[in-house]
Amino acid sequence: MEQLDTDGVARSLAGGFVFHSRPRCSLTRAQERLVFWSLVGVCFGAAIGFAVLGYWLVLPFAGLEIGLLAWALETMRKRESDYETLTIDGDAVVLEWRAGRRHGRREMNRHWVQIACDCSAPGKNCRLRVRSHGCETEVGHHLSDEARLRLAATLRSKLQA
Amino acid sequence: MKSMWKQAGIMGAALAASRPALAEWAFNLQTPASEVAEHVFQLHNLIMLVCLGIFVVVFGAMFYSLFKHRKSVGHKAAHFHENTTVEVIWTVIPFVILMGMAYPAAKVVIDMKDTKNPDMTVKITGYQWKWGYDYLNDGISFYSNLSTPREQINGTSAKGEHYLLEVDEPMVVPVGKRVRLLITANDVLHSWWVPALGAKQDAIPGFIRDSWFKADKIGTYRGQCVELCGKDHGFMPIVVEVVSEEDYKAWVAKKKGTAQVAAADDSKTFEVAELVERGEKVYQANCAACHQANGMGLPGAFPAINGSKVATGPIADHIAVVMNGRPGTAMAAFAGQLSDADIAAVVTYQRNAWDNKMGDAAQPAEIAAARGGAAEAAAPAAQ
Amino acid sequence: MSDVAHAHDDHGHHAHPTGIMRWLTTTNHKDIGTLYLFFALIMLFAAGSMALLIRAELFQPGLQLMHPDFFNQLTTMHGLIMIFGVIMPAFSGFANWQVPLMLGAPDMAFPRMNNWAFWVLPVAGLMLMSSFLLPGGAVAGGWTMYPPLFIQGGISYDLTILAVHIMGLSSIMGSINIITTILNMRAPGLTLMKMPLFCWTWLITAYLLIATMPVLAGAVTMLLTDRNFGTHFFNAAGGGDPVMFQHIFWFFAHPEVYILILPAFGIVSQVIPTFARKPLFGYASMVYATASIAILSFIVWAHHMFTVGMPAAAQLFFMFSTMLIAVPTGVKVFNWVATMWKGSMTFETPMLFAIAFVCLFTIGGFSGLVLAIAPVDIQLHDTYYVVAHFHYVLVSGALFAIFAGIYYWMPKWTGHMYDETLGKWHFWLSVIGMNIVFFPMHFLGLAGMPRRIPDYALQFTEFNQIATYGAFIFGFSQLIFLAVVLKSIKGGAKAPARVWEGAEGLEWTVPSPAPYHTFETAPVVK
Repeated sequence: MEQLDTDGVARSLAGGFVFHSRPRCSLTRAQERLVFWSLVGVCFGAAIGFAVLGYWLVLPFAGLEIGLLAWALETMRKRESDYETLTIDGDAVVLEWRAGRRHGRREMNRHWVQIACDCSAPGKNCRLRVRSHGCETEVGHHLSDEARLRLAATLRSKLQA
Repeated sequence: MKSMWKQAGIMGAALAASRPALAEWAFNLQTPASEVAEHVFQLHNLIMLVCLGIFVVVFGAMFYSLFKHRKSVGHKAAHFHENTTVEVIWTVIPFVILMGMAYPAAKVVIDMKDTKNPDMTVKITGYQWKWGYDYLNDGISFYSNLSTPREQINGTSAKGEHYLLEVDEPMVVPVGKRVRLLITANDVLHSWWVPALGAKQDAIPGFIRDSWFKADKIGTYRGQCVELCGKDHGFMPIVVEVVSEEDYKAWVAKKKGTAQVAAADDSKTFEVAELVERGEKVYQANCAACHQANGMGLPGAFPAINGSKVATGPIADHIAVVMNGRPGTAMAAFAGQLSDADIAAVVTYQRNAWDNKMGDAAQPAEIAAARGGAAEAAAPAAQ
Repeated sequence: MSDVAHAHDDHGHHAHPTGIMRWLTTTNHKDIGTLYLFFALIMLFAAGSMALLIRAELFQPGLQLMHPDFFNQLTTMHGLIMIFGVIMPAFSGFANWQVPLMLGAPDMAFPRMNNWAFWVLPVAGLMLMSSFLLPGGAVAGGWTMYPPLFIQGGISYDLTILAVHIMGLSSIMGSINIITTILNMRAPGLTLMKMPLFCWTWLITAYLLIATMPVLAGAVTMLLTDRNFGTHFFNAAGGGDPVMFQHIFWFFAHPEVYILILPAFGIVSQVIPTFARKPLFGYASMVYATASIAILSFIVWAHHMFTVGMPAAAQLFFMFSTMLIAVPTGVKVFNWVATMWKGSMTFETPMLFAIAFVCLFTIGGFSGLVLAIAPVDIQLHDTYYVVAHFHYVLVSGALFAIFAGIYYWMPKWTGHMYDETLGKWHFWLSVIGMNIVFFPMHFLGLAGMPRRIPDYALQFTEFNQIATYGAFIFGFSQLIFLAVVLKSIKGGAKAPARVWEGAEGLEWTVPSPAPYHTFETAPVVK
């Protein structure tokens, strides 16, 4: 068993190889509720207090901001069920993934699979792509750059084996 | 607690006594001249002593550690990283010390807020940039302007002893009397402060807030506006002259006499030259700070009067601007601040000074008429 | 998973943005952290130059160099830029660099929003700075923007309100990003109570920012409508109340004061254990103390307004609640001293700045305690004593912690050790200069010198001259800092992954410089 950063787990099965990774989600529901509702309480508490005294213009800004916060938390929740799994079993290379509502599965032949890793874009993260028959699929979304590079090296060695 | 108070008092007295030797090097609050200021002085000394004690203990420990527990002398790091007992102790001890400070502080707060049973009441109004005083019991009103000449400020003449802390008309109060202050402002926020008397109160336009002092010693006490109020915030000092009861009575009588002379001026008709001469003085005291002595103003901030549409246009409009101001700008309404004769004089001066050779004049009677007109215009609106 | 296929993207080489576009489009947390820090550095020199002009005018009584109105513009802009353009962006820069590294996270939770949060800042900064060129000059009403004075000003006042809005928007986006990153992107097993204290302080800071920013936005918007659309929120003649602005403003600005110092506590809590070679003393109590300070910050705002004249009961309440803040702050100072106690200390530049922080911040804390006592505050409010107090807290507090943090993490960021000799020069000149500027201001305030005045009475001359000498020492010694930073970026001794012998935490397990910059030049792996 190899650990890839802390986000992806690469596991060598009998004769095969599985890479599985998910986004981070260390925030529990209870913590999320506490943070969100206490901020709603403080923001709207102050805003409503001032509004009652006639200074109502704090209120719309509180609303906008809580809206942005709610969007951010919701977006994180949507990422929660994302995953990537890449299995190499014999000559079959299977890639399964889910991102938000979209999901997919691709089966490839080990001999035709190429790994491309491009780190040349300054200001952007490295991109790791699995290429076969002219189609590319990006993997390693939830990894840091260094873990992505390590994954590339691991995959390349596994594909050649 | 009582002994700490005493100690603080002794320390304070020692500091106060050492002051003459230090000349200008003042290291503590000004020598108090009222009971409230005295309490504040002692309170400050007490807190300073406590802080100093804590500082010495805590940083004594830290500097001991810095010298003894360093790698270069071969000290090996210990590995403790918590100790509940110690942590509770150093939470509780500061709390107890704070309670000790809170009690005397609370007494002074309550004393300062107690404005009941005054011997006399003075209403103080902040203007950009001068103070107005109304003695409600004696019926005296006057304005108090900075009297330091502009040449001293610009550095073209030597600075006097009370540079920037001197006024043309000081506030005069009798010694040993409780003076209640009703403080407000006409335009923006100001703050009235005389350190030695321990009285400071923000002046808020549209609201009247009160404060009080009782001066213990005859003398002259100086302070300044302490709330940013625009360009000449640094140039609106406060001078309070504390005098004996008899001197105060004499001052009141003299003030009432000059008020009568001023009232008589309002019903006179002046020559243009007389008005221009009088107007120049009024201009220097009230207008020159913004519009400048040469009438050129400050581009972008304060408009020029020299060659302006107002000063070379119809005289009635000119009078209206001076009397009613320009709402939303720093241009104040001078109707309430200047007498009819002074407004007539300053308008005449502005129309005849510099390149404005209008040759016409405003008379006090026209100002009085303009006041009456404004009152009539307001009356139907009120109905 | 960016959908499937960039079909036939065989060559895999897009035209990659270079030069300015690279920085404009970057979503990498390290790049954005760097941008924040450079923005703060530039603004530090801009607002610092204003401070030197102010001190030059105050070198002697009389008006020598400038008109009073320009003086007021300088004090106002110095305050606004130092707070919103230097201290806050610098802390955001630290958060961007360090939080993902400390949590072992690949990047921030919302990289694109991170990019926006930074890039609106220079826009606001430019708006503020350019207002000097407008008719009537820049804002001169004080950074606190009190009406009615603020209503009187010209076009630059509206521009400033807009700039404050933009900076607020930047802060909100930045804080939401940081709060979600810290809460949701922690490595498995890194529970909240195991996080480095820097993350804790930023978590609480971000919380405070989100809680109070709408109040600032509302307050300045009401100023804007009072100025331009005939409302009377703060106009007594129209039924409003100018004092309510102060209540609303300080309801935002007191938490803001802690926003400016809590991340500094975090940095110092990372630095001291490293150089004492001993774990931080009382980690849990540090977290609780930080949280208590944050909670108390919501109920102390009116101590900024003791002189507006409020009932005795209100004065007592705000006095007691303010004094209470001394307890958790004291706990922090005691914990830092206890961390040093029986350690095995060395004194590299970050440690020197951290020690100076503990000592001098405490002086600022004590003058804060003096000012908490309502009767004493009434005597000292709006005098130079207050100026001395908040500069001890913000210069030897926030700014020194920023210096400590830069020296501490710069080898990790650039891959090169900084020049230790120059660093020590920078430290000693700064700490001496800083005390020469600000310590005499206590005496000036006690003797009765009001703040925000361009000219003063003769008895204040000596201390003002001393302060001006100190200001120039302090100001010019920051050029050494600039030299150290540039030198370390260009080259120097190679830094190992664990830069400091006693350093603990995830950020020291990745190579120095933190990898991204090495990939930049690495060949495409095929």
